[in-house]
Amino acid sequence: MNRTEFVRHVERCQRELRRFLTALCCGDTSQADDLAQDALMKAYLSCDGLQDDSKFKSWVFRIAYNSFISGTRRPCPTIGLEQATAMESGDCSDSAFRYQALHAALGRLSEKERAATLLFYMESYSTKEIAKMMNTSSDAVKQQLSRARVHLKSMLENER
Amino acid sequence: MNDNDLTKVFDTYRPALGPDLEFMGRLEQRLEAVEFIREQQESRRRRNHIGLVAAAVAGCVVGAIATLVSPWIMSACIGIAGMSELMAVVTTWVVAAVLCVASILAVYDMCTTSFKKLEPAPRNVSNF
Repeated sequence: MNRTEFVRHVERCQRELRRFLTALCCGDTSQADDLAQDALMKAYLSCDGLQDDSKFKSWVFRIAYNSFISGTRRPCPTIGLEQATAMESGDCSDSAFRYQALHAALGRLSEKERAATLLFYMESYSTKEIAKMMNTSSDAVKQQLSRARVHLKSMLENER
Repeated sequence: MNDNDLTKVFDTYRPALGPDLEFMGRLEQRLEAVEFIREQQESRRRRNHIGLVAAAVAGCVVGAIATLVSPWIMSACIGIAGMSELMAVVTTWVVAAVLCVASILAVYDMCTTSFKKLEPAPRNVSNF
């Protein structure tokens, strides 16, 4: 894959990747963008190893997830749900405030649970695909999803 | 809250991301820097390869010449400097070895330096 092809593939999936990483970083868009840049650089440096171009997106997501896990992560905002809801913005289009409760709820999940949840609900990957991306078993992913679901439901329920 | 609500929450999740153009521009700059480093590494590898071949050829030529003139050096050592035969042999081979090594290093250095000068100037990647 040459540079032009790589950029074309990236253009197609960069928004989804950044959205996924933003949620993974609990709303920290600058950290998410840095992670996305790093992941894409790693992908570019090893893109000769990618056999099937149709799997580009899941391959990049896998690299991004690994980049997130392998030490580049910073602590998520430690602000509690109560504080999060108490913070109000006059600008209702301010997405940082709009998703504050969701980000805080995601921040309470473990990194693996968060990643599995986001890949499953946001990107609609199957548990098998998620297991492959996260280098774990399908059963483990199902367990993580189940735990995350319970936590998220209870945390977001309290918000209503 | 049921599963559908959870799905809806993530379906409607649209965080305010920075402009696509800015993100892609930053990525392009980094890709440019990677390409630049790759080109530099490739040209350095090529330069070293040519330098090694030229140095090997120079070493062989100088070695052959030194071997051919070794009887003359040896007789000069004995006749002019008044050395013993053993000392003359040792001196001759030391002179030959020094000439070979010096010519190898000089040719390698000349090749790598001159090829570096011939290469195009690096692109501006200062923004990286």
